[in-house]
Amino acid sequence: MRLQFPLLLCLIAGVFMAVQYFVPAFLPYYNRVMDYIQIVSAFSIVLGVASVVHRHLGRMRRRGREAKRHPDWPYSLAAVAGMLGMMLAGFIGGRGQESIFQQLFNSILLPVQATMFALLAFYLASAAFRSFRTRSVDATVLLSAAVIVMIGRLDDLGRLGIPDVAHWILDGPNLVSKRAIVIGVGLGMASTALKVVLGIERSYLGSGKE
Amino acid sequence: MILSWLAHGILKLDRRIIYTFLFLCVTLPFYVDWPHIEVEVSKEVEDAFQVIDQIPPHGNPLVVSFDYDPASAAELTPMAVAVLRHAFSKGIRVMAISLQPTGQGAGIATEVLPRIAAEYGRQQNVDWAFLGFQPNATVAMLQMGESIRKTFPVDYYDTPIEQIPMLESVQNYEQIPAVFTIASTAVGEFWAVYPGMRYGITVLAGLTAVYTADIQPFYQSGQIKGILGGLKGAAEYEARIGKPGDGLAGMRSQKVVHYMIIVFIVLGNFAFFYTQRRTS
Amino acid sequence: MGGAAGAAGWTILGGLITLAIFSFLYRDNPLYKLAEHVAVGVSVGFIVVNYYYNVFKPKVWDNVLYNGQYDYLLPLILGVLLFTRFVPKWGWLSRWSLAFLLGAGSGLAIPATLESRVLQQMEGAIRPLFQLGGGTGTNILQSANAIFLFVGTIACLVFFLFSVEHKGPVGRLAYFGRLCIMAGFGASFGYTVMARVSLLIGRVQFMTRDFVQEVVRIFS
Repeated sequence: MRLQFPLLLCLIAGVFMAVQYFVPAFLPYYNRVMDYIQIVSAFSIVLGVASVVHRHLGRMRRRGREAKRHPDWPYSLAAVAGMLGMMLAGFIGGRGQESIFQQLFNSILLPVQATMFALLAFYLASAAFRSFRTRSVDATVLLSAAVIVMIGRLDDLGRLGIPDVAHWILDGPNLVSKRAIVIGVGLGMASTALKVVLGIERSYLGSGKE
Repeated sequence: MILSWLAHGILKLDRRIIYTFLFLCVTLPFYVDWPHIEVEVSKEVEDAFQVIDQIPPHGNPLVVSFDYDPASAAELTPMAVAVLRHAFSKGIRVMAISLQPTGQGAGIATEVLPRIAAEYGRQQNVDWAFLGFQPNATVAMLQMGESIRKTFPVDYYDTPIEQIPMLESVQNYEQIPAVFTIASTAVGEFWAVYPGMRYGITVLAGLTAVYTADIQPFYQSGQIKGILGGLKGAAEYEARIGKPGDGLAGMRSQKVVHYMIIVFIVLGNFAFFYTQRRTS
Repeated sequence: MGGAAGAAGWTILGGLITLAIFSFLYRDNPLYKLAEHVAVGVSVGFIVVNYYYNVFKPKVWDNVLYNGQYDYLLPLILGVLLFTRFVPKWGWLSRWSLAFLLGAGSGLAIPATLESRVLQQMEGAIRPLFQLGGGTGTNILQSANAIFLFVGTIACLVFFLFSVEHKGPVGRLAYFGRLCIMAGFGASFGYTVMARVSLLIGRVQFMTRDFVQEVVRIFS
């Protein structure tokens, strides 16, 4: 029963959502089910949030025979303080453009995430020096295409026809290769989705030992 | 001997010197009027421009979907700003949403949308509205095809949708001339795959450069009608509307760094193959 | 915090946090860790607030309490069941919610994926061939391109076909596909370089334009 009911639920939900596309009479039920999916999806994200909070609170607790905290516990305290501060700002001060909630987003969250990804440019430059080697025909084709696209996209060296070659690479080899990947992924996705709905693919249910 | 010294020096170069050099290559073009930049508007960007330009002013709104997070803001916010400037300058109404799962796209929209609307004296709920975000992107996209009000019962500022004047006659995609999705992930593609297939909506995509190469099949097959790709796409759109912004401003640095990376690749390969040959 | 002083304060905070993250390039350090952890906490708080206002309140709370739509208690129960994962004895209940989400998502995906990712893409590969030769305006380059698009797509698909040995004509076709794939990946790599550099340019723009301006204003 612990395994059969979820499989049955998965089958009913999957078949309904696949078939409703072809049956207009199902529309009112379809709209309601979509709302249900949104609500349950929201809880799945909140689950992730709860995991993060659980982990950081755990690091702040004293454990073991010597009743010691995790060495990084001050950082966890900062994380929890940040979370509480943001929630207070949002629930009390609102979410408008001039609100503290929005300013905290603009001054903390945005710079941190943007800067973390900006670091990748440095690693890319370092890798260009140390790792990108034209050791084979394939690698030579790859790097040549990359160099031509990098120059061509800047509309540079027009007299040598580099932008036109870059354009052809994008609309030719790149297009056919990405199309093949899209078709392959599409077929794979459809077959995996069918396996999930029919209960052949059950990895999401866990080991089933509970 | 000089070549050998150069080759070994290149292979042993401290990464922090590389980082410093990169930082200088990015920063100096902001202060020096070099190198010269010419931006040609590509077909993908021109197609996107034409679709938006043909939307009647003060009529049904263009949907602008902020489907990206702060990690890609440097690349995508300039194109969001350029498209909003185009729309607001022509009096085209804008209905903004966000389908970025953590809601951070909504945070970006809260900062960008009112600021650009104010530049053109556009009023909230009359010329633009921001409906907030929904977590499950595909479900929200499909739900909007039946009822936008059921998908977004209230806007981001807690106003019931029924009380927003510009959305009085907007029920679903039949009243939407086009959707411009600004996305850093596959959500951009989902607009073409899900509601594009089912409701035949016109999809324009503003994507990170990483995704631009991957989305070409959808553009060629007509599932996506126009693409703005990365900071260059933003620069092209700014050039097209005649309003320079962060896209064009960043092009000089982009050019210098591109050539720097190419030189690094060439030097790295020279050093590698030279030392390999010496060893063998 | 309002006014110009408030705006300057937030800009300086953003700049200092940017510098703290950049300090990781030298090496991992307490400032970087602090900035990272504060951002994690702030993002969690951001998610909770937004989910409450955009999802829970309008779709569950208002529907149940003010619109009398008690069936919305069903997804609420399913959502809460997800949290039983934390309790080993009751963890099996979370499978119901997962089964519902995955089943519905998979069901939605089947027709959409087959139509958009397979059939329309196949049409995109074949259509240029059928547009050839119809009246004026088709030149030899367009013809060659149309044939290339069709043959190239087949070649790339053959490359990924591992149940057939890549020998003889199949091997040559697969090799052609491999070259196209390498060129495609090269194009992706070129675009990736553009993307990563753009992200750094954005940060440098903020630092040189906004942050430095505020710092200079304070000290002058």
